[in-house]
Amino acid sequence: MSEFTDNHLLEMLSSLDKKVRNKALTSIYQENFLAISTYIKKNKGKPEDAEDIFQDGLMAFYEQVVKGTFKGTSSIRTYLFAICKNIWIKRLRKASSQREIYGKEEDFPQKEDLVLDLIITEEESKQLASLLDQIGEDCKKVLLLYYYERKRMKEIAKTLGFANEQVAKNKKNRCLGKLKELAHRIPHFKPFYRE
Amino acid sequence: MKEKKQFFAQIDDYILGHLEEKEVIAFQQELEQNIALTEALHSQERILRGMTEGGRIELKAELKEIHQKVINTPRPKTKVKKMDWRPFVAAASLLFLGLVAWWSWPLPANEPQQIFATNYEPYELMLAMRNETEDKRIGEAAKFYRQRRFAEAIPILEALISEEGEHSQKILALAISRFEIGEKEKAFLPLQKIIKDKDPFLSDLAHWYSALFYLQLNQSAKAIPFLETLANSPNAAKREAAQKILEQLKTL
Repeated sequence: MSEFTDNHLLEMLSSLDKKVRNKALTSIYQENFLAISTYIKKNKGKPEDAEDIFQDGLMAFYEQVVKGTFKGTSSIRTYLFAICKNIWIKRLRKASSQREIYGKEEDFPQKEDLVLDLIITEEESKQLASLLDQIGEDCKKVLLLYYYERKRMKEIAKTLGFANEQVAKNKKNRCLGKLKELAHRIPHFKPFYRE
Repeated sequence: MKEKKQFFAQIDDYILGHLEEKEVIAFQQELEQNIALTEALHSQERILRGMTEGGRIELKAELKEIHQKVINTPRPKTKVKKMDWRPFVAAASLLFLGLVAWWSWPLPANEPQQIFATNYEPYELMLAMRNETEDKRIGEAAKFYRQRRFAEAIPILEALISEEGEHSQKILALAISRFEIGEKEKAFLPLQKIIKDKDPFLSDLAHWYSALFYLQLNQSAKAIPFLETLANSPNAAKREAAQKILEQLKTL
């Protein structure tokens, strides 16, 4: 049995210890999934939509916590519910507007460009993400801790056992170099800026 | 020149939001006139998007595992302390043989209650508090429930359910608590509520506890429909256990 206050959960989510973070995510999952799942299923969703939307919402919430943009002015439950609700409404709108876009010819060229740009950006991000598995486990850890989990170099150095902040920074730069080099080998990949 | 180079070193801090307000203003002013810096920034933003995608893939995989754990095993496994097993091998073998013999032995008359005793464990309640003062009662209810002080947990659970709206975990905890203190007939009402609402998360458990409670009351005939529902549901958490009990009941 586990019982945590919101403050405890927020601290645990920001922890560099993956087990602690997992415990917090499990507790939030257990406490909130049912309410959100019920809402989605009552609003045209299937059980698999509920799972997907809840997980996307929890990811968005997690990212706000690590970025420091969640200020805790409302409870986790209320906030998470609002995020999931918005994601689901957007998804429903997107599904219906896609039908509308392709039904109205005059709108098509403009929106097509926009959609194409978005697809290219998403595709590039996916390619970069897949390259993370080719640069070694240590490099992957350093880059994800720094860019995704927004940890400071000092914390990364301590967690991964580097001598100091500068060593961690050098490691991050080397790993980033590796990643860019791999990316440049992909045909048609837009090159990264070089000083 | 040194200052210009400094801006390039600050790109990561800028996109990750690590700069002070004054530094952000200076950086943005430089961006307006420095095309190379703008290009370098866009380049690094692409990296950030890629890393974000990578982080999301990892996190999504972790959440899918949590989903399976939460949906299929509401009660977390108890950690067993490792010990030197060798001295116990002989004893364990004998115990195993004994259990096999006991398991296959014809069932005595009071078997439903024995089946109940073998299978019953109180539901593992997990409630998260929003903050310490506001939700003090949730913490108290959870604490009493955990400490098996069910009589003290009941009034708090009842108040929370009536004031904060229905919440299946609390309703299930109320059913267990009532049963534990001997208010057996009253324990079925909350379970029926969960089943009626077709709660996707706890409906299986409500069926499970309904069946067990009837077995404890020696009313196998009433337990069987609940067990059959579980046994015939491919994704039910207690499916195999229900099938096993049905087999046992056939021999009575």
